[in-house]
Amino acid sequence: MSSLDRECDVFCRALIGRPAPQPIRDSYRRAHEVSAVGAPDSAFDAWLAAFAGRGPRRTRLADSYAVLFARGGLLRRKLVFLLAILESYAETSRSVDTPRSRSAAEFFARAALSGVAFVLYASVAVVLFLGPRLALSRERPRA
Amino acid sequence: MNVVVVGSGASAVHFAQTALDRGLDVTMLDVGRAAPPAVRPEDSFEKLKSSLERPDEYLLGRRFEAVAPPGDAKEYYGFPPHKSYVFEGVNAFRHRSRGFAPLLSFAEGGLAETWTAGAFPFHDDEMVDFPWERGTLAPYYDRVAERIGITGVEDDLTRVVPFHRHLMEPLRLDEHSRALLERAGARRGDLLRDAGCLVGRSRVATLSRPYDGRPACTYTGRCLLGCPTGALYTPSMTLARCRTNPRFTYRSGLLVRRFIFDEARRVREVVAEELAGGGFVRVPVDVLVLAAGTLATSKIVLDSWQAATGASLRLGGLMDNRQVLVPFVNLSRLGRAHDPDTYQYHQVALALLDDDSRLTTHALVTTLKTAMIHPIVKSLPIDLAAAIRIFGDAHAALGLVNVNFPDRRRGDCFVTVEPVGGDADGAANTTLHVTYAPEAGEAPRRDAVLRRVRRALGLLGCFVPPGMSHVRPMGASVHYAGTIPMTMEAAPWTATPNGRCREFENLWLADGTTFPFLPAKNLTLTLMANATRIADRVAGGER
Repeated sequence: MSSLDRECDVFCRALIGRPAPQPIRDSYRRAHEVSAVGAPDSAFDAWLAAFAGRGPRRTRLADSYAVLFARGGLLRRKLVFLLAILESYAETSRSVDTPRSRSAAEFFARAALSGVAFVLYASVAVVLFLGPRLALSRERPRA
Repeated sequence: MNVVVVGSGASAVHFAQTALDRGLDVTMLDVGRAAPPAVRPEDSFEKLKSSLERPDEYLLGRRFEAVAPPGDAKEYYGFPPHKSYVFEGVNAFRHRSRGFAPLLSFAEGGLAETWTAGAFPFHDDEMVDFPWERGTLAPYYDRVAERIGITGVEDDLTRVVPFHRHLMEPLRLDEHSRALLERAGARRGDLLRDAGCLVGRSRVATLSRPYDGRPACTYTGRCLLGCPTGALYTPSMTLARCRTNPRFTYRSGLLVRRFIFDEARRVREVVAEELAGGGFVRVPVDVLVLAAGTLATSKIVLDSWQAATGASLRLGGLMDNRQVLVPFVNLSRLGRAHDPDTYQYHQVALALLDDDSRLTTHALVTTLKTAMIHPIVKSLPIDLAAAIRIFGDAHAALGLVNVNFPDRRRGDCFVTVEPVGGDADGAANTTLHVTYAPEAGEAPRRDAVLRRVRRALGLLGCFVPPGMSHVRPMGASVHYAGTIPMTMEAAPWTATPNGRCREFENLWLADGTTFPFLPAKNLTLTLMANATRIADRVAGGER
């Protein structure tokens, strides 16, 4: 399995809780081959994406940081491209577009829990990533 | 009489069809990029995701160009790859803009090949600046409706969207639209009193039953990708009909650059560039009809004047509808599943009344079903995994209001051309410069209307998330108009009430170039009706 395939798998587990089927991995690889996803904006940007690719929990941690401080960065681009691919294939589209709540009350309760979890993840991420961000702030991304 | 029509969009094809019906010979000059064939027209949107070998390529593009990347942009939808041919440019048509983001089309059928089929006739009050009597356009709305098939009902909106003949029974409603309309019916008095708002069904040029050789809508949910069956009308259908007429000649692959006129200001011929070979052809004309869309038509006029006189003209009064996208959540529909096998475009419309009925704001309500979800999900201020779960619960509750604002002609909104060298068959190549500035006081007026929209949505049980409304750049609505307006009194660079450009004996302008005012409505149906009217006048020898 190539590094992009492994990364796709990790991100897929993070987003929809299951590994990426082969067509999804193929499409994810193609998106990178045609440079649709793009290059990292900075050394830290590259580091954040690599950190996220090591496991689904790290993905969530890194994305909680990125949605606030690196919205257009490499990690967000990879995840959004993957989401677009997931919703294009029948095998995975239901996983990104199925309701779990059965009422408005349940929706708000789940959304509130998600919000609390997000705040916790983001708080941990800000502290955790401060060092790498400072250390890499002057470096260019490696090719 | 040899009538030469430039363009193949909504205005051009209805002019041509009418002229042919009146016994005239018509030659149409067009770039004419053709649409790709429909892909598996029998499959629904959901079925395509399994029946296609590469659904990602179909939905996202070979180079994933249809993916909305994360960032600050708040456009909630884009054009699918299958429709990218509509916006494929032409190198020879150079343009630059300030305060405007124009969309241009050189496709067969023009920009309306991607329209949402909203077919809303202008009310007479909205045409008070037009130089004709009340009711002038009414028979032409009837005629166009008979040609293309329009569905709708008589309801509260009829007060501001006139009823016309040949309306078909409406399409089947999706559940969310049905819920909104039921709630609107129950809160009718409150909506009018508290928000000055009327709510009703959209009029759409999509068939609810088979008509004129076209099938009825089969509710495959593929509207946003391009209707695969022909139930949703696009101008290329009328072009195809014209091409069956022996008096019609269609010459594609040609970009009309300018016309040549004599000392008596009579147009003699048209100069067009052959895009395949790079050479030029000259086409003699008896009557020239420019219907290439306001920007392209204006450029032809400007280039013609520039080539003949050396002078750069400025055509003022460019108009476009400001649009604001307002996402909302219908609380009563949270946690439900959405049905993808439904009509995807707007089925509900709003009108925000104004004391000056010309300035009534119109809005279209689209309930989200099969639109790609990632543009919305990525914009939520939470990590993507959580955003996906929240969106899944909320999908069936989501909708988008597209609010249109009227526009008036102003001198600081104009088009001109600048010579940039090179040789276009004896004349310089030029760049079209488009300049637009919003009217002073637009922002507070707009915000006041948007507060009413939010109030109306609240009365319909809907919540508008703060900070997610998106003011689209000018040019995004593609309702361009007004650079050579129709007027009653003669004045430089105006058109007669019948659409003849006063500067030339035999030049007619059949598109939005001649509109003296732009109400807050989709103008495509009115373009078709006006072009039909002008063709009648030309055929009748009127000027």
